[in-house]
Amino acid sequence: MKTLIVEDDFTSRLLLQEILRRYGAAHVAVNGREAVEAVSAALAAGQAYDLVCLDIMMPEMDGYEALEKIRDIENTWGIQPSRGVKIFVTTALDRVKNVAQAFRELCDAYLVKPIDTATLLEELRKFELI
Amino acid sequence: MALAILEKLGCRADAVADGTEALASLRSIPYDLVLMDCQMPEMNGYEAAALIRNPKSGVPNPQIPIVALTAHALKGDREKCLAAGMNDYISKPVESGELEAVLGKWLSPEGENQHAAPIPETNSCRSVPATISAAVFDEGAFIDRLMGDRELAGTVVDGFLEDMPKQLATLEQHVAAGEIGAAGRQAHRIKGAAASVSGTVLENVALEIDQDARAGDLASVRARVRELSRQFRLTRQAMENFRKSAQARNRTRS
Repeated sequence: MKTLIVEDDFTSRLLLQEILRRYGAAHVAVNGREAVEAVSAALAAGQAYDLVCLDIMMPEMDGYEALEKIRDIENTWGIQPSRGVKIFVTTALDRVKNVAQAFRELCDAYLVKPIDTATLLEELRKFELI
Repeated sequence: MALAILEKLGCRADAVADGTEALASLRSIPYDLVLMDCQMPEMNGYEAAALIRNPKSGVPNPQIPIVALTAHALKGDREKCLAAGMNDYISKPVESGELEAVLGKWLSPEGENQHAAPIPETNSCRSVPATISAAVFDEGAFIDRLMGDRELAGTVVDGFLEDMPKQLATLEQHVAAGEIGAAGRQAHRIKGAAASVSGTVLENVALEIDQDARAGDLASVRARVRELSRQFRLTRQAMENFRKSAQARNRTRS
């Protein structure tokens, strides 16, 4: 499993990275712009990501814009929406409801922060990523 | 605070961080009384009290007197504590006289309480309470969230301690420059970092700064940023203790 972690906070990023690198390469991006560049470069190299963990509230480019751009890029590569990278949106508990409404069509799962290992592993198994 | 008063009163006391630790201590050491903070994260005082009272909990004396410590001076609180099986309650901040009175009531063999177990006569000090306070670092909750992986916990705590001074400095710069929007976003980031490592108090103060910043209250943001730095020092101390005990455990093992 090849993962891209998109998160502006160092500690939250470190926690996800330390868990996910046990299952394969775990790259990081600190904002939406970096994330879109990384997804694009990986597709061009024929080494697409299997999973993107995407924070919503970030500087430069927020998660929502990044999410739309990632799906657009996949579209230009002729990737069917159902065959695209799995995207788990990460968000604080108080925003889950708004986020769930806004992102329904574009992402695969929501993870409430702070990240709980058991919940994360459960989602990974659900999508047969591990 | 409670510990200092207990010491002055000539009591031996141990502090534990959460309900899980409290149960573990009660199983192995014969305490005479429990002082229970009700506002603990994860397992609150009411749940912890109910577990202690459960005959299956493995605590040798499930009827040990439990005195609640609560920040809310609300009327219904006393009832809530009693309903959870606790014997009495005192409000925070703890005052020496009040604590002494309540200890006298529940630790004296002649006390009015008929439910408390007899106090061993050999125990001349009368009380060896376990105190529980809301943790700046909720180690138990953190390790549980990482499925018991202490090594991972240590790595993430180390990263947090290295990074946080930089994040606090950035916040202070935004505040000094009067950039309230940027200060709010930075506080939000600090809140996320603190939550990741179960730095409960730090998380709460950062959240308040974020909210004050949204409300445009720069004076309040300023005051809370000073509080945030103070709480970070306490959090760091608790985390460094956690790291030291982890290292000691590793040495014993190897």
